[in-house]
Amino acid sequence: MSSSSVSVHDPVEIASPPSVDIGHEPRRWDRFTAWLLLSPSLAILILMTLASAIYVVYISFHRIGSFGEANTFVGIQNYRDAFTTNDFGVDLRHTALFVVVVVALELVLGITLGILLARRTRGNGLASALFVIPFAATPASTALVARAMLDPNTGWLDYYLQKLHLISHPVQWLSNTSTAWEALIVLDVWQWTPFVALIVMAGVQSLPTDVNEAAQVDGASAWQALWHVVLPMLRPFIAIAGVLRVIQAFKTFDIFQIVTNGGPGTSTEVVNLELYRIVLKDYNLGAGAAISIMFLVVLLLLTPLLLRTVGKYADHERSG
Amino acid sequence: MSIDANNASLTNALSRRGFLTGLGAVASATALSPLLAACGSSSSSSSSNSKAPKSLGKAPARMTMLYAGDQSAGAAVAAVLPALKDALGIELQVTNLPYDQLQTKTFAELATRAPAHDIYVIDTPWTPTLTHVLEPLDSYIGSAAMNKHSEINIEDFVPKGFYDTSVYNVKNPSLTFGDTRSIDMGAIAKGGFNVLGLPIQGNALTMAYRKDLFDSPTEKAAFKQKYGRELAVPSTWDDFTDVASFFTRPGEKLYGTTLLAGVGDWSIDDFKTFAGSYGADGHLIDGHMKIQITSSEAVAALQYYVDLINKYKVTPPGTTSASWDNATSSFASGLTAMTMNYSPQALNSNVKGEVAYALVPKKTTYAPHEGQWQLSIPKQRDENTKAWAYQVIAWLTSAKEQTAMLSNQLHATRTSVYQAATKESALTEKFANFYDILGQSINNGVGRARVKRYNEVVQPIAVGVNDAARQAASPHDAMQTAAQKVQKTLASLGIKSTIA
Repeated sequence: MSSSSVSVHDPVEIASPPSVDIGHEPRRWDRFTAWLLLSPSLAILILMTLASAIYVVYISFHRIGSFGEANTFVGIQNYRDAFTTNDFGVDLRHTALFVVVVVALELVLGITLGILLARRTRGNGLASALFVIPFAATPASTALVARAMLDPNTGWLDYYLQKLHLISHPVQWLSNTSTAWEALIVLDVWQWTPFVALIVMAGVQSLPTDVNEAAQVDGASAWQALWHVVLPMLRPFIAIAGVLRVIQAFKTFDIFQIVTNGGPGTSTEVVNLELYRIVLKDYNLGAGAAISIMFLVVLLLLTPLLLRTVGKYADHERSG
Repeated sequence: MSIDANNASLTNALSRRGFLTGLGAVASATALSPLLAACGSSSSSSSSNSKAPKSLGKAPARMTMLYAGDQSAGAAVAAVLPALKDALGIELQVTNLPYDQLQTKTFAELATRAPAHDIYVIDTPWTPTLTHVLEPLDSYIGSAAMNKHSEINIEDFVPKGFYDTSVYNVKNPSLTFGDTRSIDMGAIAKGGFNVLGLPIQGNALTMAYRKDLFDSPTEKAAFKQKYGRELAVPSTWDDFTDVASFFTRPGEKLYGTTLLAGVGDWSIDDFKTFAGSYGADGHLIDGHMKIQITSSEAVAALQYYVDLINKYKVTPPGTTSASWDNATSSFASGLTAMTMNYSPQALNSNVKGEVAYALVPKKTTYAPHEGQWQLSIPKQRDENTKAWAYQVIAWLTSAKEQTAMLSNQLHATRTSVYQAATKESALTEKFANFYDILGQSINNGVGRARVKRYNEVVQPIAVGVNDAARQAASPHDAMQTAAQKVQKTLASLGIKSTIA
């Protein structure tokens, strides 16, 4: 496509001084092409996010009268109310705790499963196909099924636990804080671990076999080969899986709304649930805007960390 | 240069900064998505003249209505649409949505200058927020020209439900109309109130019970032996405690009653019913923005509610996380002898039994939670469309059509329809005495607090009831905490309130 391909086949061009440009001009051209190709989507992205975000900042300082009433400037009241009235700090802590726990568990389990299922056998193929089911199902439907399963009177879980004599009385899973959190975490881990496992599995299958073979020839045990050879080479895949899961986990909403609705008390109340109630149910746009912006700031603070993780391992892959 | 090399070059061009921009955008979208979805169509709308036109123009061939599903008898309305076309010559296209989506869509559309639908079904907690964008119907109701297609007979609507659902002071929606014994359009206008819709579906908390158990000679004899009186369907909470305790036999997988103590609107409805029946203001927040949940009657009611769960233990496991769905499934599976809910209850096929209905018991007065849906017209429509929309809603809510919709579980809003329902053997065969009790319950019912941003304002009350039910706080402390939070939330909306 570029002049560089012509120059490769042209001996005069190869010998000529412009060869210096081969190193710079194509790169500049490629960069230009990349931005040119990206520009339509970037324009839409800017319009959809930046312009809207500016409007959101504006309304965060107002009490918005969406239904025939005037907007009122309220200064930072919406931000103050987020902490004093809407417990944003507590909700954020719950959200962060959930993200940290589920992503950690999903990475550990996903990496393990991904490595175990990477060998191309018929059984592993079937298992991989089945893996798609949990995260292909809509979170709302899985949450509804989970809620029915957790019912202490008619749910399967308590029924079988009692049948197996593992419990003597029904457990009221959603009535106390710790078991409600356990239910939510297990549900999310069940749903998203296969996602991580599939990424890792694809990573393992794409790894060059010679490095592993060389390690074995050098006398490395299977564990040593896994720990010192396979896992380091898998880092880019794990990093991508982790970043995607962190982003997805912050967006989790359905299971909280359907399984616990923030209860018992406010113990599983998360930012998205609060936002849903304030913005989508009550149309309190000013208060919702203030909470959204603070949530955004937290996510943006996390972004460089996530980016560094991806960038570091992506660089590692390129250099390797 | 190979394709791979090209890709590599492009990848280099997509610098880390570029990725950061992308990831930042994703983060923005993550945090702001619910808000942006809501903002998409936001714009303020101004009030407009609400006079009905002097005559009807040409009928539109098609009109649109945004409607609920099961909560407001979507199937019943769908069944009469062909008759509507025959009567008015209008094809009414109805969009049915589940509750949460319906509310979101209704609010989003009514916030625009040009709502997408001609008619909206409005649930009572939404109305205080929407008073400025709903067409007042007073002049339509009073106009002979506007009532040629169906008899409006406004006095026939169940008065209490009508006032609670449709009569609002637009500028101060918290105010309630004083005398609710009969519907008087003159008094409504004189008092500065408007009619913002016509009620279509009347929901009220009713008590369903296992008639087969109450009629069983064995049970009757056992009850008499234990309590020294006849087993009867309880009409007071004192009786209720005995009857519920009597039927509570965990070994037989049988409990006295369900309660809705999970965090959600359901626990508020339960609590307001109990509080009202103990003599507190069942609205929980009155028309002068006095928060009533800390009154001695309300706290006593909550204490009794908590005792049913923890002291008398007459409710099945999981009650402190239960919602309407759980109550329905518990009763249907034969787990409880009584339940309190909004619609006719059915038993699963493997449970041999019979269901009948009674008023939710009282301490000093009957005060079941009541909340109706109304059909309203957005202000932002041209005169002729509004006039024909009124024709449609007057026709749909007429006594004749409501009666036709009963077999599809419309919960009527007119007195004459309830009177007819009790005489219709096909209905009593299908729904037992449900309609009779529902009519009485609406007559005795207490509506919700009239506050803007209802969900946000009352959420602390749901949490407080749940905290008390789980014994995480005493009823007194739970209500004190909830009242303070409600007050803060109201203040954040610019509404001054006091605590009882």
